[in-house]
Order: sequence, then structure tokens, then C-alpha cells
Amino acid sequence: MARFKLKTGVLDNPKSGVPYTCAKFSPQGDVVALCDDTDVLLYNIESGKVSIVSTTHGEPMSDLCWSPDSKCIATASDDFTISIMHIEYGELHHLVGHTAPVTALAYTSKGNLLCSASMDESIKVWDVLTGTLLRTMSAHSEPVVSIDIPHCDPSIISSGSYDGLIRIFDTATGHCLKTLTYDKDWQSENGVVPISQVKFSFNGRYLLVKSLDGVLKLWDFVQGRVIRTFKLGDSNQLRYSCGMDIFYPPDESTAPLVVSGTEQGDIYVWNCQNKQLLQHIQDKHRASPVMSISCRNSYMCSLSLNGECYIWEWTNE
Amino acid sequence: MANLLLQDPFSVLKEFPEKLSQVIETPLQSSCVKFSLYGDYLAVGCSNGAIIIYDMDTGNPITMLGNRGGSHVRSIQSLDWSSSGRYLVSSSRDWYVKVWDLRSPGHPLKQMKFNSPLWNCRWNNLNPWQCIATAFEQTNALLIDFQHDIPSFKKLCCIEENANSGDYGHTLVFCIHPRYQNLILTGTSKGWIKFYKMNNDGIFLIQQEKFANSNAKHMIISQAGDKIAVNSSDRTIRQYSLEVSSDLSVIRLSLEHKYQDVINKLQWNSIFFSNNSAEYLVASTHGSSAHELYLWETNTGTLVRVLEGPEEELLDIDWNFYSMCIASNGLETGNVYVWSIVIPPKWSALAPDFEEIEENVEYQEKEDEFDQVDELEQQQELDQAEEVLIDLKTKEDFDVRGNDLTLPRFIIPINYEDILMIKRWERL
Repeated sequence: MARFKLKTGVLDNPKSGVPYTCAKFSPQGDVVALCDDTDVLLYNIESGKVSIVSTTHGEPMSDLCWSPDSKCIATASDDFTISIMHIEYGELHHLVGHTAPVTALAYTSKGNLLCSASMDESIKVWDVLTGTLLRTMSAHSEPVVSIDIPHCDPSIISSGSYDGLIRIFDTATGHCLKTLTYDKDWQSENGVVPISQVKFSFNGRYLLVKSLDGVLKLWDFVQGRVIRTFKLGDSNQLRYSCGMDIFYPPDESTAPLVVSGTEQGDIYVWNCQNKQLLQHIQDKHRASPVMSISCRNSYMCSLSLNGECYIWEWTNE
Repeated sequence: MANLLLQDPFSVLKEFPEKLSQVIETPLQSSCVKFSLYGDYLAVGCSNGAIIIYDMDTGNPITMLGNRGGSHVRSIQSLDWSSSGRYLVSSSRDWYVKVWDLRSPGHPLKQMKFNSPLWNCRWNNLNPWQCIATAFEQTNALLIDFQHDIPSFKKLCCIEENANSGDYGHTLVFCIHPRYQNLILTGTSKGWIKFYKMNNDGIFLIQQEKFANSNAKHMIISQAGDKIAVNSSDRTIRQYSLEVSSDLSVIRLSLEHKYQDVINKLQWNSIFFSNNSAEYLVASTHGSSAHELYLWETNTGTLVRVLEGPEEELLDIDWNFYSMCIASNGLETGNVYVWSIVIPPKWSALAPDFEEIEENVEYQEKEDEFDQVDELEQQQELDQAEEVLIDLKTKEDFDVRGNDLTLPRFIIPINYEDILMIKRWERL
């Protein structure tokens, strides 16, 4: 039966006391970029070579995002700024404008616009060529912690916020087009359930959403309906926004998989079609929250807060 | 694109743009404008030979063709993007036709010099690297082949035509039939339309018809290939319905409407059809008194809209059907004006439990509004919704306006050296 098999570990001796938040595959899938304090580590999967790109940030980073041409990395830092780093040439732009730590970044597929979300409750759209701010969307009432733009459709941006709302914005105008809510949970006695992660499907028709109670829901956002729910036993209020991603197995016969990390250091893999739990990865992240999951080609990369980072390969063995 | 699915369908499906939404300020005098297939980019040709590419998302220029040498030195007469979006062909009064690769826009990829200024040049999608052009005082249109290292050209004419002494004037305009791409229509300075068929055996003149006693300035054909319009120097736009038999042997052309400015008797600068079967025709006027684009309904021939905004005469027109934008450039400032469909924000999108209403509505309780819903039943319904098969991978083939999304979409690479260079200048 096909499953994820450990291929390699990335960081040999992570720094202690530094929170590790984000590791992402490049669009071409040959390099993993990893936030390490104020540096970005680039790990080449085939050669195992590590190189370091230093940023000009004064505080650690929450998120990084590859440009679609794999040549640049944008980083979101707690020092309220965003840096766009060219891997060879160094820093291209230092984007200043947010008034609180920047939490998430997303490039459009054309690579000409960069969107950022921040604890200041706003989403900003930047022109990558000139480094100027094009527009600000202020439609949330709590920190915005996750944004995503479909791979094939740069016309919309989705956002998830601690106010429990998922909103879809028009990239060109900045208008809110749709709001998805957990209508039942929204009215519950415990208050709202903060949203922690949003991710569009490859074709941009569905939106996978993770909330801070550990539940994942796949939305048909045009209809405004939940079409799949992935749940683990008892849900409770979590502290960390743990990573998730959608994995598209190279063999066409297998349905796409939902991969999600937990605060206990476990990774769960579900079949998105029949919601069957396919794999449960334990004992690898030493009970440290899995902060980031990134999938590309036949690989999956997981990173926990303590800096342990592993590359997994989807195999039929 | 998904933003259209989430907006008011009646606004999204409007058939023509109404509001001036963007003014692109160009530093030079512009002569022609052309959108890329998906409307991502706008190429602006200038009277000094420069060609600037604008990113429509940001409204900023992203590259200038030939900025490392080899650009045109006289006014650009026409621009055309290849179907892949990667190549652009330009024709100019400096007697050159140049092909540009947007992956490396610093120099022209290929070029060819003629014996006179060029009017118009466009890709012929039937053969890769083949263009059709018209040039000053040339009896026939030209077929240019850029496939080989040294480009070559031949005349678009048939053998009998050379023997025939009839004087039809010079060929000024042409268009390619969208359905039968080997059918080419040309218009001449003496008011003739000629229909040519190209195939492996050669080029054949199928038919020729006189439409007026003056020269053709523009000739356009609808996407469906069932209508053509000819703008001529006698201040008239003539719209014909076109019927072509599938073997291209019989062509029937019948006049549907003539568009004229009855009061001012103005010339028309440029004309453009709307998408599919061309329900609308838009035109710009010559002369300093008119600053608008006129939009007619083609079935009835009535003027339905005047697109206002600019304070100068408008020259060229391009209409992109993906972004539903009309772009037109001004004579005096060179600025490019863009009209688009502006959809007002929907406040109910922010709060899904609210509904926007036009006026006060008397509250009426719905049949099931306060019904006790069995929790179990509700859960079953939700569970059922989760059993529907889903597809996370397959992309849509068409957008809501019916445009084909499977065509290639070339993304012009970002030139990072330019960013660094500009940064360095700023620091100095």
C-alpha cells in the first residue's frame, strides 16, 4: 500500500529557543526553503546541500513564499516588514506598511503581485516590480493568519482570521466577494473558532480550511458549502496554527490526500475522496507542534516548532 | 475566473464595458494598442518607434521592446501577439517588420525590411511563424515567413491576377476568417474586397466585390466569422453579413448597415467588434471635436452607448473579451484609456446572514422558517453532502463569459536586474 516513507532529515542541529515556523518546497520542487531565525536555509533535496540566504529582518519570520519562477523568496517577519529576496542577487524590496507582525504571504501565479496578511487585521497587495503598495483590504476584526491564491487563477485571494471568518477577495478591486463561516460553530457558547490555515485546491474550485479546534473542512466556496470534514476525536482549543497541505499523488489512480500536522507532533493523512485515514505518522517530531506541511511532486516536507524537519517520499513499497 | 462566479451574474455578463476605469499614462505619443490574449498585458506602440508592455494588474510598464538595441525608429503601425502569447510582431513606418520574444525583449528576435512603410502585420495562425502584412503602395498583401534564419516573403495573389489588368488599387487592409483560417479577406484603396483561399496547391482568388469608391481604412471580422465591417475614407462604416460555404467556393456578402456621423460628417479612426457573433460595434472618431467611443448594436444599427471620459481625440481601439476591457489611446497626451465593467461591492458578501434589498420589504414568515429541525436529520443531510464525488485537479475549460481557458497563457518573466538597477538609481 502506498504511503509516506521517511527520506531524509533536513536540519542536523536546530538552534534551541528559536521557533521554527515555516518550510516550503520551491515551485520546481527541488529545494526546500526553511525559516531559521532571521535567515532562510535552502536545502537541495537531491544533493543534500544547504545554503543560507540572510535577510535584513530584525525579528524571526512567520512565513515565507516562493515566487512562481523559483528565483525569489518573500519572507514575513515579526518586525512588521516583508522582504523579497532574490536567491542570487539578494534583497530586492523591503516592504514596510503593516503595523503588526506579518503572518502570511502569497504570490499570484503570474508572480507580479504579492499579498500579505498581518496581525494588524489587514491584507495588503504589493507590486513586486516596484515594491509599492497597491491596495489594503481591511475586512477582518482579528489577526489574519493565513492567505492563499489559487495556482491557476490569480483573480481571488482567500483569507482566514482569528475572528472565525474565511473571506474571499477580488484581487483586482480588493472587494470582499464571499464570506464562509462555520455557521453552527459560529454561534456556539465557546465563542468563535479561529481559522488557522486556508489552502486552495489545485484547480482553484475548493478551499481547504483548518481551524484552531484541529478540524479540517473542504469548502465548495462558490456554493458556500462544506463538502468534506476531516476530524480527529475530541477537538479543543489549540495554541498553534499547525500546518496542512493537499498532496496530489503522482499515480493518477489515487485521490488527492489531505496532510495535516497536530500540536502533539503527529501527522495525519486522509484520502480526500472517501475521508479514510490512510496514514498516521508518529514519534518523529518529539511531541513538538508540526508548524508547517508542504507537498510537491512526490514529496512532503514537515517541520516542527523545535526545528526538526523531514522530507517524506510517497512510495508504493 | 472564480471572481466572476462570486459576483452578481447580471453585472458580470454585461456585454460591453461602460465605465472608464483606468488611465495609463504613457511618456510618449502612442499610436496603437493591443491586449495579450487573456488581457494580462497591454502592448502600446508609440510614434517614435518604442513599444511598451504594461501589466494590467498593476498598471505599470514592465518592459520596453528593444531597450538593448534594435527597436523601431518610426511610428508603430500595428502590433499582434502570437497565439502562445510569447511572441509579438510589430510593423512600422521605418519599413521594418520585427518579431519579439518576450522571454528576452531587449533585442528583436527576427526582422525583415521592405521597400516601403508597413501598414499592418498580423500572425497567420495556420502556419507557425507566418505573418500577413500590408505595405504602402503595394498591390497585394504580403505573406512573410519567419520560420528560417533569413525571413522571406511572397505576394498574396494568384496567377490569373497578374495577367488581369484590372485596376483594383493597392491592398491596405486584411483580415483572416476565424473559422476557415485559410480564407483571407483583403481591402483595397479603390474600394474592393477580395477573398483569397490558401492551400497546398497555392493561392486562389475566390471572389471580389466593390463596396465603395474610396479606400478601405480598416476591415474587421467577428469571432464567429459571420459579420465583417469596413471603415473607409468616405466617412462610412459598412457592415456586411458574411456567408461562406464549407468548401470556400461560395461567398455571399450582403450589406446590413452603414454607420455615419450624420451631423458632423466625421471620419472614423478605428473600429472593433464585440465577441462571438459581434452584437456590438465600437468606433473612435477623427477630429478634435469628438472625444468619445461610439457603440452600436449591430442587429438594429442603433447607437446604444457613448463611452465618455477622455478629453482628447481617440485613435486605436482594442477590446479584450477575457477581462471585458476596451482600451483606446489619445492623440494629444498618448495616454491609454481603459473602460471596463465595474461591479460595485456587495456588502452582503461580508455578512452572509444579511441580505441586500432595494427597498423596504414587508416581513413574511417563510413556511419552514421556525420549524424544529431534527438534529439527526440535519446531520444526515450534511453527511450526504460529503459523499458527492469531488475533483480537486481538473481545471475549468471555459470562464463564465464562454472564453476558452485551455489556450496557452504566457507569463512575461520578471526582469530582476531591472529592479536592482532602478534601486541603485534611487539610492544615487
